[in-house]
Order: sequence, then structure tokens, then C-alpha cells
Amino acid sequence: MPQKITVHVDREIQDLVPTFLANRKRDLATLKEALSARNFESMRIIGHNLKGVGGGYGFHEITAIGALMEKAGKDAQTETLAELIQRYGEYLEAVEVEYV
Amino acid sequence: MPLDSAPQAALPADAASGRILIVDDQEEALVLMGRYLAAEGLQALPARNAQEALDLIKIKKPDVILLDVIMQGVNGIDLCQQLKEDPHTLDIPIVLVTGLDSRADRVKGINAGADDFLTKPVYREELIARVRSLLKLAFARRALEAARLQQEVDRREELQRLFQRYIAPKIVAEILARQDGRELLLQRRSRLEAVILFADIRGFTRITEQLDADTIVNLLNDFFATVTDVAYQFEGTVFNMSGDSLLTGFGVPLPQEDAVERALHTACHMQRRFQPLAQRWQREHQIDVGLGIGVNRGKVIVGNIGSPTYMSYTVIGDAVNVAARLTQQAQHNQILLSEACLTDQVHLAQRFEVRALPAMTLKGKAAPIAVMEVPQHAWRSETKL
Repeated sequence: MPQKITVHVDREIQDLVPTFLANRKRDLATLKEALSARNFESMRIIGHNLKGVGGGYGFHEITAIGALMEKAGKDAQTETLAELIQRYGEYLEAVEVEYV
Repeated sequence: MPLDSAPQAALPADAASGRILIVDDQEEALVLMGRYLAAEGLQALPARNAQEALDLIKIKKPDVILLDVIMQGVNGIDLCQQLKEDPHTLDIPIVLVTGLDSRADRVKGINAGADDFLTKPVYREELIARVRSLLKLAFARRALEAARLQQEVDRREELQRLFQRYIAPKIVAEILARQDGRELLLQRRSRLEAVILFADIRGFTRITEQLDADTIVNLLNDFFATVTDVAYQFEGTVFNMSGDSLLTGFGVPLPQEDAVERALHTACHMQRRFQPLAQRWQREHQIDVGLGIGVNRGKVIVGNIGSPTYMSYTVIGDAVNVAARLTQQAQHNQILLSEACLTDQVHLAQRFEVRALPAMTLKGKAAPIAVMEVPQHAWRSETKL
């Protein structure tokens, strides 16, 4: 059982968060497919999007992973991308939201 | 002017809210920014691409635009440049939303005219602070623009009031609508070709001894109201009313290709309008007066002439002197015109009946000049005019 990670999110956007997290899980599936297909451009774009949107919703780790993923996708670094996708999946499993 | 002291009256009714256009093809970023802005009482207008943004701008002019740099199709920098080149949108503050590491985008954004930058991910406090600050700027710009426009309107109205005394209101409006309108009215002092018309009451000086002052003033007011009305009808410029004489110019300050024709129409209509007036004066005061008109064409100088405390819009030149001398020669109800009026005006011969008179030597002129008249039956006739 992985250790839970608590994220504090603005109460103002409480109703948006479930959709946000559902979209992130969909991204994870797409990323895994892209990794199998060595589709670096697709991973770069998803990384860019994660970087741009994560922190705004309160998920700073998503922004951090997204930034690294964008760079690794650009440089076609398969191993790094695999590690980042793994890290991303574990984060999504562990994350818990607390509204403030 | 400090932003806080911008005139409050010029702020729009919804200044507290403000309309913010958010342009981003990333739905989650769009929704998030919209939510944060709405929570602050601001009106968020979402657009998912450049075209949607342009369509929205046309319908609801936003106060601030948040523009994502990386978008499918037209990107944020190109759209920013397009908006800053358009006079209708160049004053709307634009915030470019860029990635943390996109220094190159910021440089391009500055060149494209962006007013500020926000880094993605966008945080609530920073977003609101930027937007509020730019809203102040937008409203201050608008207040200053409104004040500038009001000042311009006031200046135009002042000029209009001043020059409507001389120039037909329609012509004043036409001049002021021109880019160089003010300069034309206030500063232009060039030599222009004009047609000058004097209208003078014949026999009036003699009767001023017979009537009381009130009556004389009333008669003169009747006369000037009538002839000025005719002058304005044909878009002439009234330069002077002096004693019982009116000086009108055509082709000044704006050129009028048909200046001679306008002057002749004016002369004929003045004569016709004056007749019932003269008959009434005869009936009521037993005085016998007529109207003498002289018309001449030539180069004149037009400008505001006088001292800083008393300025008058004036026309001077030999052409004016000749018109004045012709008027002195005109008998009761006679219209005299110099030959110069009809040079190169062959078409007017078909519209106006004129008759050559013996050459006249005018006061101050060595050589006699060729003179014509519009006969009474011609100016009395409706069909010829």
C-alpha cells in the first residue's frame, strides 16, 4: 500500500477536481501506449500539458513530472520517460485531496 | 495621471467586474482561469482558438485579454500582434501566458506588443493580481481617451460657434470633419481664387436721418437676416456686415468649383427676397430703397486678421475692392458683375441671362473694366434660376 500524498486544493475549484484527476488517469493510459509505440512527440505534448495545468489545480508534482517528461520526449529518452510515467502513475495512485 | 486618480465618471458601469477574454486551447486551463476570475466577480469570456477570440472581441470588447502562446492554428504571439496592429483592439491590454522556460516566447511577445506575462501553471493570486492591475490600466486609458475626445469635441464646438457667424453651418461641419480642418480655419493664409459679392441697400444712408434709431436697427436686422439666409443657402461665407452692406465670398475657405454660379444664384435670390421687404418698408415707413449688388472674381487673401483681443475672419485683395466699387455703381435693384466672373464659364450663359454694359472706370482704377448685368426680368423670373 503506497503512502498517501495529501494535496491542498482551493475550495473554489472543488467541483473541477474529479474531472481533472479522471483526465490525468486517461493521460496515464495514453502515455503508456505512447511509450510502447516509442511515440516521443505524443509524450512530449502530454508532458507539456501536464506542466502547464498541474500546479494551477494545486498538483505541483504533476507540473514537475510534466516538465521533465516534455524535455525527455523532446530528447527521445526512452528510459527517462519510462521512469517518469511510472512516477506519474504512482503519484496518481497515492494522491489525496484536501480542500482549503 | 496616477491610475488611481483616473476620472471615475469615465469608468464603465461594470468596471468592478471587467470583461476578461481567455484564449487557450487547453480546456482545463481555460476552465480553471475562468473559475478564478469569476470568483473575483470578473466576467470570463472563454475562447478555444484565435478565430473564436476574434469573433468574441467583435461582439463584447474585452477589458483584458489572457492569451496562451502555444495554440493550434494561429498561435498566441501572432494573434497578439494582429490585435495590437488593429486600431480597434490595440488599446486592450494583453497578457501572454507562457511556459516557465520560454524566454524566447517572452521576447517575441514583447515584440508583438504584449503588455504583461503570466507563467503556466497559472496560480490564482498571481492571475488575479495581474488582471486587476491591467484592468486599472485599461480603465485609465479609457478615461484618458474619453477626456481627450471630450476636449476635441469642446474645441470643435468652440470653432463651430465661432465660424458659424461667417460660414454656412454645413461648410463649417465639412471643414471640421477634415483632418486639416482646424488649420484650414485658423491658420491658412493663402491666396485663393474667390468670387466676391457685395449687397448694399441703395438710398439707405439718406433715410437714416428721417427714422428713429430703433426703427433703423430693426430694418437693418431684417435686411441682414434676409440676405445672410440667402448667402448660407448657397453656402457662401459671410465676411462682413457693415452699415447697410454685406460682404460674402464663394470658393473660400474651401474651393467651390461652381463658385460663380453660386454667387449669381445668391445675387438673384437676394434681389427677389429683398423686394417684399422694400415694399413693406415703403408701406410702413414711406421710404424708397433698393438693393445694389456687385460681383467680382479674382485672387483674395483670407484669414483671421486683427489683434489678440479682437480677431475677425476677413477677406482682402484687389478682387474685393473691385466688387465694392461695382456695388457703388449698381443702381436700385441692379446686379453688376465684372467680366472676370464669366471667363471660362461658358455654361453659365445658358443658365443666366447677362447683358453687356458700357465699360466702367471704377474709383482707384486707371483702366475701364468690362461690366455686365443680370437684367431685372431675368432675376425676377423663376424659370431662369
